[in-house]
Amino acid sequence: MFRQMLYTQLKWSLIALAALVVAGFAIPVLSVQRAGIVQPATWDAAVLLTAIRGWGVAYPILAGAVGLVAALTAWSHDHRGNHVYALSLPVARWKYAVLRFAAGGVLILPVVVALWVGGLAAGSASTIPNGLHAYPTALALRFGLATFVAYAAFFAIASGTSRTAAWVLGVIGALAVVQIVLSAAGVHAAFLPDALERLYTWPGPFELFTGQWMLINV
Amino acid sequence: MSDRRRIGIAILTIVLAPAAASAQQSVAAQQARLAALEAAANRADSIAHRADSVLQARRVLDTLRSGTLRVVTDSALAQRVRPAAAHAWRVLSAHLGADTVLLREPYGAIANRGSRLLPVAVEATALIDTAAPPLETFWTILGVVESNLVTRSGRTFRSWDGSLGFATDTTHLFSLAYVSLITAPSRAARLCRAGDVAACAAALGLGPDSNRAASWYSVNDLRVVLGRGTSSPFARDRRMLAACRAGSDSACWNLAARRGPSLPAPLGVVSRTSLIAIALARGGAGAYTRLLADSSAPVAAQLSSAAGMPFDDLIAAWRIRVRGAAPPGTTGAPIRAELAAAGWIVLLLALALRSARWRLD
Amino acid sequence: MSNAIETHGLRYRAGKTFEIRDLALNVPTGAVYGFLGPNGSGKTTTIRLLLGMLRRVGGTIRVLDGSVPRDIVHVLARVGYVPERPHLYPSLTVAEALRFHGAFFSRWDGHWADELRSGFGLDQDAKLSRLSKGEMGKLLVLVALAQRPDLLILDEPTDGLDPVVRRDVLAAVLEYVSTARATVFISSHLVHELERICDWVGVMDHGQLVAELPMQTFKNGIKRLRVRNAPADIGDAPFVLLAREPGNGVAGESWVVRGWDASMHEYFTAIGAAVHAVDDLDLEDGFVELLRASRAPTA
Repeated sequence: MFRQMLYTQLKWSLIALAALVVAGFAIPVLSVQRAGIVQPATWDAAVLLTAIRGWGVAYPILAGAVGLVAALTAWSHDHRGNHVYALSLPVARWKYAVLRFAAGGVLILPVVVALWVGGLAAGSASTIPNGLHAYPTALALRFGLATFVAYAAFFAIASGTSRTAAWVLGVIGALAVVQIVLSAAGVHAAFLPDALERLYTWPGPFELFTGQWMLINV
Repeated sequence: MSDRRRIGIAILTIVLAPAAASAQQSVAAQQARLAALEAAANRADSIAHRADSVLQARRVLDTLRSGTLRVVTDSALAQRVRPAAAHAWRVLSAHLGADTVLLREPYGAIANRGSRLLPVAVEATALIDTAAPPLETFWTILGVVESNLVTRSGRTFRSWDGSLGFATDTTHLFSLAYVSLITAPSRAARLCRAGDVAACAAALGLGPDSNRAASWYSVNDLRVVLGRGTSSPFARDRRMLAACRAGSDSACWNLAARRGPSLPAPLGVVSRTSLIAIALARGGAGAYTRLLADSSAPVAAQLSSAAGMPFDDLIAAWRIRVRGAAPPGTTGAPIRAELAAAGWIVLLLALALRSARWRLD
Repeated sequence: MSNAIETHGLRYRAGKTFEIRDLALNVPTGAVYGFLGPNGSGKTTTIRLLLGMLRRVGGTIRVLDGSVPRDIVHVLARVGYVPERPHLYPSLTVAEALRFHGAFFSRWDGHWADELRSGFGLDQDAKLSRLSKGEMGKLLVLVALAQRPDLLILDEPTDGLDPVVRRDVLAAVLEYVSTARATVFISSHLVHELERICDWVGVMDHGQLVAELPMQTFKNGIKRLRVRNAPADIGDAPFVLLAREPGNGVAGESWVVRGWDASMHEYFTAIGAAVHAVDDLDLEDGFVELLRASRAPTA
């Protein structure tokens, strides 16, 4: 059962997945190449760190993209068929969702591994100055966890009904309208930005996405 | 004297006498004119001061007091500036301790109304935007006070470009100093990392003045450092830089020599601020007073006096503190973020399993 | 005789207009049950309720001795379902679709699936999205049969298929039923097709089951009578009068009745009327009259 789930989801996402794997490998390699490590004689560690830091934004973006692709792949074909096929199979609903989730999770791993390998390759192919170190494993672990969080979030949204999605968007929209009205009335209330900020700070789900994503660091 | 010589002198005297006389007259006239102009300027100043005083009299000024901190401000701004001043006092008293007596000056804060900047008879002034929130005003007051104290520490200390840290976020000061020490492309910084205290002092710009470039940088370091910043307006400098980068050591040294005092020291503001912080912390009560006591002394002496310890010991203490301040795991995420992420994954999956999408309706 | 499908007081509501009210289905085990009804009568909705895809408002559903939705996983493991519209993943090939489907059913017969595939002429490497309507129809039936189900639920399985394909599909179903003694529940609006294969019939109209009876009784029991001199009030008739239309004098009135028996001529004599012709109605005509009668406003 799981093997077939995995096969179908792999088939549906093969092209996108291949592109994401390439991106996962390429980002750490490019970040080091673009930082100009190739010429140690003219090397400026501060500039190197600044350049490496500049590439940091690519990692959480890639994590979000991988999570989105995996979640959409898990549910899109069932959505298209209005879930008739899934509902006609002799498997408990929760088990079906877990199988889909697990299959998508397995498909995420190649991207994480590609990023790890890319980090190892980038770190070993360059001459890193004293005092700085490459952290391919820490980077890959963090990336993997962030990708799974994004995947879980998108999976939960995609598994819901249109009505659920409408509720969620409706609540956000209502908050935005109230915010605008209060601001126009001169009442200082920033609960929408505050609410969004809660997602990116402890104990929100996306704190992992913030901060520095640096392959090479002190 | 011969007759010819006497006639020549007489002719010269006759010819030059009027010019001399007129020159004498011009100098006198010019001096008189200058005096008249000065008098006119003084009268104008006096009128201007009176006019300003009238304007000041029209504008009501409040002096806000928080501890020994005094902030003079427009009455209309008092409500906005008062909480900022109170908060600034708390921060300053925490920094200065018993040295809060140094805050003897009133610090002026005036709104900039349109294009006219109205002066106040105080040591320091600062522009406060009428729309600035109290937090911004707070930072402005701290900045003004710090600037005043640094000024009083003397020109040498001021030009050394270290900060007292009032108006900056010093939460990660030593971690940043660590990064600076680790990444500085500098022979002196490398030696400092390895334990050479004199090299640390040199890297901080506190070593001997002679042959600084050679004590700070290797030629490969210079290839990096000289290429930083904006391009020189002088073609000769640009040619020398190109030659330096192409491999000419002499070009690098020559260019460094041309840069002179503008050649940056390996360790900059962050490292220097951390050194000042160590000195003031070690010095305890009265450290600030001792720092400002002799504004003509070398910076090293001022810091040593503030710390109450020999300069070499101070540098050694700084080095140990900075080396121990490596920022933890900036690439990996904090443990709590990882745990939160794992928890959210489980929660979101549970939400997915409870989805209403288990019927067609 | 036990029932493969049983519903009691089944109720369902969708929107403001459509409603299934007090549905009492009884599909005997081993029967080929034809579920008739015009478009929009609630056939597909009923099937989806039986399979637990829709949430009922009231009543009970039992399928193969399991309660729906409580035992739905066990029920679905024994049910072969052919929906009204293709439900398999169109991006898969035939072989992939068979492998995927087979992974979920413990009784999946892969060898027989291959035989059926060859017999139906389906290319295993053909993508489902590229199959013709007839080929897809065959594939859906193949997938349902290869599960070796105890109950086949077919929702308009031959709709839109050409006669040759319809024949092949129905032949495969009947062959399986005869060997496996499975129950078939087949819904359709193609009355003449069901006439040939079904032994029970249920007629659905506007969300209600208007008739449920053996096929033979249905076919034999509905007649058109030509009646002369019948009074307006016919009293307690021994049959169900479905329709009564005035005649043109000579031919007499036209009556459509259900449950006719030859001995009922005596009734007409008793009321002073005379039956001068008894015509058999085929299933389609009988179905139409049944619907007309059910829709007529009650006096």
